[in-house]
Amino acid sequence: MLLYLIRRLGAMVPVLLVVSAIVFSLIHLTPGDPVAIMLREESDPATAAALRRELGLDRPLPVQYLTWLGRAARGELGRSIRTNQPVTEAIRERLPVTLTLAAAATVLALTVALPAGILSAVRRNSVADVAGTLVALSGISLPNFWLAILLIFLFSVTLGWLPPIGYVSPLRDPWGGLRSLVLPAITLGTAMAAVVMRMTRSSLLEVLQLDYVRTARAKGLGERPVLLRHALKNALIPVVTVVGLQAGALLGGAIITETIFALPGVGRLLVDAIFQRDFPVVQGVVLLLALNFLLVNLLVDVAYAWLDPRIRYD
Amino acid sequence: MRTLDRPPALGSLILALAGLFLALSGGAQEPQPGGTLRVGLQGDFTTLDPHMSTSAVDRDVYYQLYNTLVGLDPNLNIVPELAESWEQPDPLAYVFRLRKGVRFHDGTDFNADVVRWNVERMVNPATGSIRRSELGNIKSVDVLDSHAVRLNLKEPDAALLATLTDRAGIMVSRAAVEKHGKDFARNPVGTGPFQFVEWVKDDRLIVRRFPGYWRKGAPYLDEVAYKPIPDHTVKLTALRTGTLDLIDDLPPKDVAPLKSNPKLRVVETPGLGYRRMELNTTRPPFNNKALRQAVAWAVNREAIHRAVFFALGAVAQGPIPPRSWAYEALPGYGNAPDPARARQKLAEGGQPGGFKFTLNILNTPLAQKQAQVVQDNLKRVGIEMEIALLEIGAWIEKRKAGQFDAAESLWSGRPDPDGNMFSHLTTGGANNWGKYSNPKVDELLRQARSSPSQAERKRFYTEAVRLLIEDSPLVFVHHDAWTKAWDERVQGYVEIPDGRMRLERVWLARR
Repeated sequence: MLLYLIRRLGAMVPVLLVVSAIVFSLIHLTPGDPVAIMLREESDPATAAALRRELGLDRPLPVQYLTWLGRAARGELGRSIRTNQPVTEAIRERLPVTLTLAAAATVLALTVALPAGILSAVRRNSVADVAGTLVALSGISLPNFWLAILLIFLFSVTLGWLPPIGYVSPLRDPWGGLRSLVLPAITLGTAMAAVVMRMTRSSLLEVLQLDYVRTARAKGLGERPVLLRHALKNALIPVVTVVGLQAGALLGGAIITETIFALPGVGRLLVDAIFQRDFPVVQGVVLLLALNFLLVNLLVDVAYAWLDPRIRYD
Repeated sequence: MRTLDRPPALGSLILALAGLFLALSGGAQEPQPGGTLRVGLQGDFTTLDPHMSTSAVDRDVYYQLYNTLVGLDPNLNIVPELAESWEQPDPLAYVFRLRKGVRFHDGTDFNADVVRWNVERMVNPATGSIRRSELGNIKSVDVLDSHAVRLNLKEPDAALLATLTDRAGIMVSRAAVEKHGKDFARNPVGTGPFQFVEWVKDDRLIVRRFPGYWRKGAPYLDEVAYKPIPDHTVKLTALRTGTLDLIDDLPPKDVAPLKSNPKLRVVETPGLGYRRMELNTTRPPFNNKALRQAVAWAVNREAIHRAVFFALGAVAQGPIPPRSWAYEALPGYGNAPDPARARQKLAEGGQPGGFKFTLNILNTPLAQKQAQVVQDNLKRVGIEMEIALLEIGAWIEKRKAGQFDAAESLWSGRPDPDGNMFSHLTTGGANNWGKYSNPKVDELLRQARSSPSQAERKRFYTEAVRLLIEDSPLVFVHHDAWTKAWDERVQGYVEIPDGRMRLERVWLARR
């Protein structure tokens, strides 16, 4: 297992290299010049040229890429063109927010989706199943920005229970942090919950048809131990895959939620940087998100081995 | 307000007596010190170094952290601030007498040496300051004594004082810049009523009362906490639920419903800028004056004013807003469209059946709505306008490269008409993307810039605007209004015509 982990970690490096090269090319080849965007309303050609020179933007692209790569290998991701803040510092400020939000959304989604999926599978075609399916469908179909505004209207404006905006760190103020996370977590977690619920249901249904489950029942085991001890672990394998993919996507995809709830997260940082052609920030953040995605996938693969003893890595 | 530091006059005395009377009769509103004002802004700040700032929203915090050499009052008059008085011994020089006893937040002294250092910093190409072009006319700065400086100009510049009410007039602490270098942008030190506490980008910026502020008794607030909130609806909701106290930039559609809320106050102030369609005069179709005029005749400005802007602001027939001293009401192309004249111009331009062009717009709701109205207006006279919605980087790129037929944009405006016109409409001007060129206009704008008489300047501007209307390189559409809304607890907020917040006199009433 250890060898497997080391190999996987090693395999990440070429992937990250390719990702960074692709992103670099895309963002630089897109029309739009960060200096022109910065100096929009006031433009003195001499100042613009001087700024471009200082930021190293007048050098050939391959040189710029290799310079960036060399620094990135040393852990220096450069400074934001727009604000001159070191990219690592910008990410460090925002990452906890996005991570907390993603974690909260995932926990919420799983807490709702797993029991619902299991219930639906066990009481197939019952009222609970149909209701669950309908809710899941709407969860996938509802645009999350619409859901966000609806939640704000209901819980902040009408009922006044929760704040409409802002992030409070749960480490600094647990109750305040919790309150500020509820609505964003629901917004972000809804689609995930829907997908996980459906996956759990169909996977469990499939597993419950398998021979070994029939054997367990024939042995006289009650339904609960059959379910929990024998069926669930295997049913969860595809579910874990889905959760992994969704959680990985959550970190970059929380942009809309972050924008609406005014949360200072990584998603917002990235989108703003793209619009402003803030190259160092874009490259730094994408590198981080790619790394994160790879790590989550690694975790998922490790989880397989735990869930299904037949799976062995060597 | 700024006028309170002038020597008391009869008017002030009467006001004071009236205030005393009111106080005794129990209807008083005495400023109460203390409290934190929570402000919601449309976007986040980019830098706290005013000499490097290129974003207007930065100024919403600059006027709290810093002072300018001269200030602006609600009537667009230049008033004393760090400079107590000024005079022009000759057209190429300004002498400023500086206020004594002013200290920076770090304890260093504000004096003539500091002023010279600040100006030289902005003008030095090595600094890379965008203010360099704004102060391009300054040849040198002389220190006359500890609290007097002399700015020597290359050419007469009547707009200089107005420029000094903006970021180019902000004086920063030399000691702090020398200590922090580039990081001064996140560790600002000024002479303003508030000092910097912390800035977490996209989350909050906090400033705290500076007890050593030179204007005694101010500020009243203990703290100001800014929060950038990109979504208009959510920002408004935050105000309504009491999470914020003061917000900026309301969408026009939200202003009327907000006014009917008894717990909130809304203010709309005529702005200094204008919305226009820049026409590319270097290539067809708009290298043809008659076709430019045809478009100008066909646009229904009144409909746009009512439907898109909900009657806030004013229709624009030129680059100078109605609130400016230089404004002259010229008929222009009329508030209502004139399809007959438009068709006549089409024929004159050799396109009696109409023609096609593309308008590049930015992805904002107002720009989109306005473009849709214009598209409909033009269709009625046979002109087919395609709307190209571009994101900011691409939009700027196309404009810069001259690869556009027409581009819609908003010029936020400057207190002096020179700032609204010179770089946009002179031959080779830095903001003249449509490459318009009329030597008569160039001459008029140059003369307006150097003339010492406001009356004479107004005549030059009026004449220039007449020519611009005739040539129509820009189709003027609208003068937007600044909007702000706040909770009823917020007192003493006065909107200055440049739309930027000054919170020195603001206080919070106890609930």
